[in-house]
Amino acid sequence: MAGSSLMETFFQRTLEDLIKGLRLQLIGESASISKAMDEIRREIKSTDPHQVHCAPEALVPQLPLLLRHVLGIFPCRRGHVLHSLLPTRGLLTMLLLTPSMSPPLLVLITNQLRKDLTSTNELEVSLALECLSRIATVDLASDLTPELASKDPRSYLPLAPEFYRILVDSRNNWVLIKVLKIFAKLAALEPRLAKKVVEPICDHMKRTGANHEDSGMLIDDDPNLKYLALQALSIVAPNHLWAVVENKEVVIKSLSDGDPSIKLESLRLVMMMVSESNVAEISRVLLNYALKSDPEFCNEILGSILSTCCRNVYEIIIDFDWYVSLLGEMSRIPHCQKGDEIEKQLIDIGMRNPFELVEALLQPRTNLLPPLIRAVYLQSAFKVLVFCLHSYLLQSGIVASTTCPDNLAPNVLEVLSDKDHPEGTDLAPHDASAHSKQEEGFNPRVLNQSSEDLPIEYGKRQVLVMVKQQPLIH
Amino acid sequence: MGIRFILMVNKQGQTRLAQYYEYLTLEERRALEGEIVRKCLARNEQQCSFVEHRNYKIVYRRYASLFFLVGVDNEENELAILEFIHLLVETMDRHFGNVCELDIMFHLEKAHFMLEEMVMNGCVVETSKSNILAPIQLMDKAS
Repeated sequence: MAGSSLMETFFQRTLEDLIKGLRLQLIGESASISKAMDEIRREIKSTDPHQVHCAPEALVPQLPLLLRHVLGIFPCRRGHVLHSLLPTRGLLTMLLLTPSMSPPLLVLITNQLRKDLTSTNELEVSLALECLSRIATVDLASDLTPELASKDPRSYLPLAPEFYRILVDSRNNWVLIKVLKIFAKLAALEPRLAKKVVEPICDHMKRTGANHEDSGMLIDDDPNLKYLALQALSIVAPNHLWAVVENKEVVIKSLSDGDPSIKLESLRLVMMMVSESNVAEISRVLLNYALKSDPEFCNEILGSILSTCCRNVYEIIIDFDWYVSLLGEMSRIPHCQKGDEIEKQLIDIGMRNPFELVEALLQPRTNLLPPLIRAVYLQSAFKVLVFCLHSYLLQSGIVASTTCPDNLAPNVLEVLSDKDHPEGTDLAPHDASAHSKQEEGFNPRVLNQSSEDLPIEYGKRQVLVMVKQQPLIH
Repeated sequence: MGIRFILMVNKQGQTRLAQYYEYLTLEERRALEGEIVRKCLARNEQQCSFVEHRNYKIVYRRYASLFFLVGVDNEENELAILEFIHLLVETMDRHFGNVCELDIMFHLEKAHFMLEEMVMNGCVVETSKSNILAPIQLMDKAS
């Protein structure tokens, strides 16, 4: 006891001296403060914890007062001071007995309390709990709930609906993190709860995941980052198209960026966004860009439009009228080098229902076209008819091989001689370009569903007429 | 796999160092170098350091008068290759001291030694400058 009273007086003296000294000090004398802190630290560490516990109550208020004083003068050193002092349990007890706690102190001891609550030493945990019971505030409680819940999750189960509401409504990331931690503990007990919680958690992940990193990177000035952000979007796109669509404007703006790599990447992304509903709009936008760009990028755009549209036998195109006109427009763009591809697609589409094609070819108003064009029409009409005839003959199994056009004529005459030929031919000129396609109103989708026979039948009659007039030589 | 080739080209388009990790004939190499160099030299500083060429990417960076170009597969990490280029430059700098184009021209074999220590069969195998320079310093001491 005598020893303790000695310590008390020693302590007291130091404290009073310290306070007096502090009052006399000018602000900024951090060296002396550190010295004083060191002394205090040494004293606290050297004193037997038992003795500190038994310190008289008169002594106890001094230290918090001192602390507050010190912290008030040197706000920047707060963290340092507390960090160095807090490891001792004695201090915690003293704080415990303090009548009031300033908010900054609360924030700083939260971490310490958290560590203590989760520690394996029962003494520490009990100390922390008692401290908490006296100084608990709403903030402190919400911050430390995960640690409290880990000790006894079952008692927190009834609160689960509350937490669920917070999970769904809250936009604050830190709160969400806390709630998630709690749910992690609770879900271990209640599997049904886990299933329910999965849904909103996935929503959160979706919303925050792509948005955070990508939109930040996309609007960055650094071209490297922009390129990588676009690449990341294109990797994510197959599974999460919504992320790409959200950043649509930025992607389209990047189409006109000065950097060719960035332009290529954004073009690829735009192509990924294409679907039945927005094909027309996107193609319009892209063609505008193509007109403004240099030849190389222009061809890139055209190439990608062509390849995307003809994928899976033109699955994304509903209105072939519009598509054929688009093909024509593309072929008229200067610097267009995709003529072969356009031609291939035109022929492909055209031959899907040849009889409408022939109808268009034989329209009387094609007589108005210049003679050269009419000659081309004529030739093409023949070509179409031969194609139809050939398909029909193949079907009927008459002609085994495909390579003897000379034998074709007599065979055909035999087979078709009993049919009648109602109309006369009006061999009209034919224009292989998009011009004629615009006059057609064909809709291959509907026609392709019917059997191959229909166009063949129609073509057969035409062919018969031809055959009667001149042999088919090709 | 990984890295296909590494080139060091000056502003006039002359190749100062070329290391290939896949087989290409001399004609092919010349054609490739011509194409790539033309593409990269035409770019300005505002544009990004990654160029797509045929079925692979070129990652490049300019250090004073020299362009460092690395051709990589499409799956490779571009930023990592940029760091690799910087490591290469720093290693050469540590050995030659304030390395410049002339150093590489006059000590081409040393530059090749360094590169061969760092990259094997298209993969980066060594990134510690001391480890890379150790055998070269030994050689210097012995000669």
